[in-house]
Amino acid sequence: MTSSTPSATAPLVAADSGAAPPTPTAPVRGGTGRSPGRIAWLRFRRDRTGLVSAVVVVLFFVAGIAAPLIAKVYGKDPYTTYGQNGTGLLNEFGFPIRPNGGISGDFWFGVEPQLGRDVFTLLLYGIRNSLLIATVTTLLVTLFGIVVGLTAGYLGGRIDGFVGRVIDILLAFPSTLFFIAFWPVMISIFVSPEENTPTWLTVVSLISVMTAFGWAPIARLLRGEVLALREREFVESAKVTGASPARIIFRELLPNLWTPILIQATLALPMYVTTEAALAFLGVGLSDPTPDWGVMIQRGAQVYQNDITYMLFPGLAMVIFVIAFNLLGDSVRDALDPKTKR
Amino acid sequence: MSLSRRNFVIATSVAAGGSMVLSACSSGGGGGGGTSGGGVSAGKYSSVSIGTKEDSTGPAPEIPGAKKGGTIRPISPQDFSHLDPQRIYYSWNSEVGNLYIRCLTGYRIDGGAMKLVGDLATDTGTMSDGGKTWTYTLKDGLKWEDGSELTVEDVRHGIERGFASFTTEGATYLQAALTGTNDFRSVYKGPYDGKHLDSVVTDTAKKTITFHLKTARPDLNWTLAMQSYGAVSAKHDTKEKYDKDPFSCGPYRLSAHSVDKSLTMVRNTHWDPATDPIRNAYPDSFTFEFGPEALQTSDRLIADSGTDQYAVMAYSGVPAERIQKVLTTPALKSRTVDGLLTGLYYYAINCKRIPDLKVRQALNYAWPLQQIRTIYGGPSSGDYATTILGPDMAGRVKFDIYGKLAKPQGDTAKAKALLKEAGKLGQKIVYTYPQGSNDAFEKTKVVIANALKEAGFDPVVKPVEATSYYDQVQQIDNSFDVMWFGWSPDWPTGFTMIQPLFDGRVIANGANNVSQLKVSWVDAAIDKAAALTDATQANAAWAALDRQLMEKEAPIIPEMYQRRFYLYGSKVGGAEYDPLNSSFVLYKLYAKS
Amino acid sequence: MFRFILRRTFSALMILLVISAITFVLFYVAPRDPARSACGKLCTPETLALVRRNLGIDDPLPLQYWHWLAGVFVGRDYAGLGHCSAPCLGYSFTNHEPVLGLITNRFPTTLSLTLGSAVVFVVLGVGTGMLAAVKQGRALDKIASSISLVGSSLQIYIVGVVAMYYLSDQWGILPRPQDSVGFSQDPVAWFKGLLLPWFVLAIIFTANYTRMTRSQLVESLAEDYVRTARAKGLSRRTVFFRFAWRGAMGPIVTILGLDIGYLLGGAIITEETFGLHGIGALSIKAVRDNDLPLLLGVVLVAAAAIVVANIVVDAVYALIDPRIRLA
Repeated sequence: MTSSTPSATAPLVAADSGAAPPTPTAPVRGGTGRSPGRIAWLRFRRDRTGLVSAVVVVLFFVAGIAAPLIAKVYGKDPYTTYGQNGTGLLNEFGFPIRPNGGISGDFWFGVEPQLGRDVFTLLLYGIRNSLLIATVTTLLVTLFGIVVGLTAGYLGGRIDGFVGRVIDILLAFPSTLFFIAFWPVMISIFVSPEENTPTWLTVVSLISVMTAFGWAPIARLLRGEVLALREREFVESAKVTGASPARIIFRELLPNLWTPILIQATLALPMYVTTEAALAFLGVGLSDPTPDWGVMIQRGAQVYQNDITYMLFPGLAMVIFVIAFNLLGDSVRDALDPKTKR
Repeated sequence: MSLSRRNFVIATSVAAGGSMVLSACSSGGGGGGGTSGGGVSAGKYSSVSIGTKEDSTGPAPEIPGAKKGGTIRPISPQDFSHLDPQRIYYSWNSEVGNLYIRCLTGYRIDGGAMKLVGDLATDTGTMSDGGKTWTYTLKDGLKWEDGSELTVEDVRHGIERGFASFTTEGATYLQAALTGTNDFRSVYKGPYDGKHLDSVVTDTAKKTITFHLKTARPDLNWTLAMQSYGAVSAKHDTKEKYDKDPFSCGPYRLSAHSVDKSLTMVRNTHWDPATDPIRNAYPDSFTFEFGPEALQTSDRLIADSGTDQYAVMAYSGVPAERIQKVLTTPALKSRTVDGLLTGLYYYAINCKRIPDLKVRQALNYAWPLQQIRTIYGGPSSGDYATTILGPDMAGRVKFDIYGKLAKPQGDTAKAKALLKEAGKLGQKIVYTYPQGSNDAFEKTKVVIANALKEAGFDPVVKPVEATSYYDQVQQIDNSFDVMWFGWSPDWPTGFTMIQPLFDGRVIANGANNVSQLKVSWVDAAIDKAAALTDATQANAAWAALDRQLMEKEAPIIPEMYQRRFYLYGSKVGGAEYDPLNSSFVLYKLYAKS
Repeated sequence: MFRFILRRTFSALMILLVISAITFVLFYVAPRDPARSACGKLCTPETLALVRRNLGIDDPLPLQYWHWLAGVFVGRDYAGLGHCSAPCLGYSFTNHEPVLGLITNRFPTTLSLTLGSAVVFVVLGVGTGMLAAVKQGRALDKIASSISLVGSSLQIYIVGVVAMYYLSDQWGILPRPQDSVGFSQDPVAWFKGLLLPWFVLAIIFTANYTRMTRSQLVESLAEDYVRTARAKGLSRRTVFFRFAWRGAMGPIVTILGLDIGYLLGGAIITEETFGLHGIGALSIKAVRDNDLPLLLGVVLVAAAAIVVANIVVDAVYALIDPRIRLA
């Protein structure tokens, strides 16, 4: 989706680029008495890295969800411009006077340069908003990818051909460029010129556009899986009993595809966190006063020469989150799919 | 570092978007600054005057210690957008234009003082008929780069080219004055079908050129210094292609140009310094390098090694990231020049939507200038503006009606009281700015909205995407109450600042009177000041109108006179800030050995 | 093979056609007027109309698009600027330079960035992947795998900025990134200027190659033909490179091709982070300047790089792996 996230997208694209290379993620079913889900869970529980990273990821989500609560206890909010209101926090260049970005007992993570807001609550709320956007996008992308991929794969023929072309076009789209060029314009079309652009609208449009560009890889992957599955006996037998295509797709095929879907979803979520941040880095997405993780990093990249601390907090937080989530994803994959287990 | 925070803007254009804001940082006169007013004394502002015939006679005064030879290397993020004189409007282009374009008049710059002198002409012109007729006599010994003589026909040809269909980018003042209409191309289509303008009369034998204007323009001598009115040889005119390879009559000529990479100007041996009171031309050549961002250029100049010792920052100042370092290191600070940008940055109040003067005054009181400047980078980024005319304008008188210098953080209590008086508490204010042109706007909107709320307004922040910003705010029936705007004068007298912005008769879609101020006394005062043939009287009239506008109409909220700060290499001599083009005076630089 | 290329080229052209049309339509959805920037400061409606005519944007939209499209295939005549021979992407609205020239001007930076980082991430990625595969399950494998995972979680706009701050500004280990010196002018300066972007870009890409190489090798080392080769008593080295590695190479080449295609289309964020001037920076400039021909040009280049990479990858794949036949 953006140049910052090639590692996540590349394998998806590669997995089905015209010719058919061996698909390493093909589901392999366990043959013993216990259910596959239970086996996976047992395997996962033994994976210490996986558990630790799961805890970290959960912490991030909890911090995001409980941000208002934490802010209340902490006694600050992410909207007040403390540095602008009082003296002694920012110098005449607009940077924190205290060393390390103005960290103090009052401001745990320091003070934002220029506007002088509290970095700690800003980050909490930023994580909250970014995770919300990324999670919803991931769910939508997955859902959309499932529906389109399964339908196209099962029905085949003209529909499949058409979907294939659309996917080709979407994958060749320089989507980052499109975001910069056209997203701000889209936003302005929807809102009455005399009203504030509601934050929910920004969020919704951001999610929709990311979804519109994002479903293609998953759909393509699942389509490939379905092509292999639909010749299997259990599908044939369902057909013979007169089940409708919808029933076959969702009751027969889908349950067999949870493993690749879950794997794709675990890859997608951190990707959308970083995609959202990358877009913010280019000036697309949420804007002040709404706190946003990506916007903080963008600001950090501007002021880093004078206040590296302001870059480090949101930056490190994001790196830690993405690492933890990727580790978690790895463990989930290993648990579900023992063939690629190290 | 970031999207469009490049300084390709523009002392002389509306499009003077916020791009420059962040990088326009400078000393604040040693940082005394603090809260009250500009940290820079009035002495640092430049003075403007009209020179005599002696001032117009070459050669330019020698710079002590200067010597000929060597190469000066200006570095800029952006290539020039136009080289054809008739298509030059942006000051970045004008800066290089000064090396090969000559006009009837020009500016001699000495220690911050700007003096209008005759460049091709022997003096700044003779006005008669109440400003409707202007006559110029050409100097002897003017030559083109091939040694042929520069004649009055060439001067006329340059002016007539301004009517051609492809020179849409240039200035239009003279064309409008000659034809009496802004739609001047319907009257005359340019020189290419063999016809000449009747209103420009040349006498080859006497070397005179006379302009017969339809409307009186007592300040035409200033207008003619714009490069849009530079001379072009009819014989070497390649029309549209002239933009890529102009023919020189100045001290340098174009020798090589690789688009977006580099441009080399070498000495024009046919240029005679005795004809030129303005330019020194010590270096043998100028080699422009395009591409490096301001930060990279700063670092190279700070490192000061190799050929970078001959480099100067061209049109992108020391960025915020390096300003503290440069200002606090004496060795670096001594290698800088700084000055104000010619333009005024302000917030236009839509008088059509906010007809109540008290509300407009309340906005002025409430506006949080100090918070805004902190976001721009503090006192070093410029001085608070309280007047419409900038400090570098001829005859400008300083005043501060809304107490912005005493209370730059905004007087929300006073604003609220005024608002109550007007019965407009809770007045909705739709504020807009160009989104995406400068990240500072994303932050200033926060402090602006906070201040407005505190003063009893109901602020609505409505950014407009930068690429269509001007199209939208310049619609008559737009729905914005307060609009970020910037304006730079084309020459340093009040006319080019006040007339386009506040003349009620020019209100139209796409016009620059975005305040939509339509008041008859203002229109009358503009006509009166514009018709004054005595420069001193005219300046005084503009200064008075400046004050009256802010006092009685408050159509804008002045924001900043921005300051910019340039570094140069240790082997560069003669560095001086050009107050008109907000850049180095290139033709005064010399290379030390 | 020939039929394959023909068919794929045709579908690639279709994709590019659709993408350019979408760009064109979306550009005009906004109430923007590219003519404004060439209309001077005191712009009158008459001048504005003239500028529109000069820029060729006074025609109805479908006709404009048709002119542009025709220009790409058969060239185009411009009133003032003369003939522009095919493939003609038009003239930039802002400086009236041919768009194709502007793009090729920026290409050296993009190419340097792409190839330089590709060398780094392929060598590092494949190298560590091989090591990990050989030492499968041992400490070295675990270390390599975790490092690659951390690497893949990093973001250019975070790592790049932090690296610039510490490595160049604070500690002075690496020079600040710059691309104003071309390879032909001064190879040493060119190399130094791009070192940091190469490595930061490589950190992020390397992980993918490590993981891919490792898993492919693990798989192919377990294949029957590799075991047979080993049983025959061939040296470990021969078995590894001649047999196992050959079998594992396919997917890696695939990804490499796609990554290179992707990078050649312009790495917007990388260029933005390091202040470089490749195709990515050019595309941002096109957006900011309302420069439609330039925007169409960079969009086309980016899309073309991706589709061409896809074709090349599939063709190469078929050559490497005889089991795959081109449909």
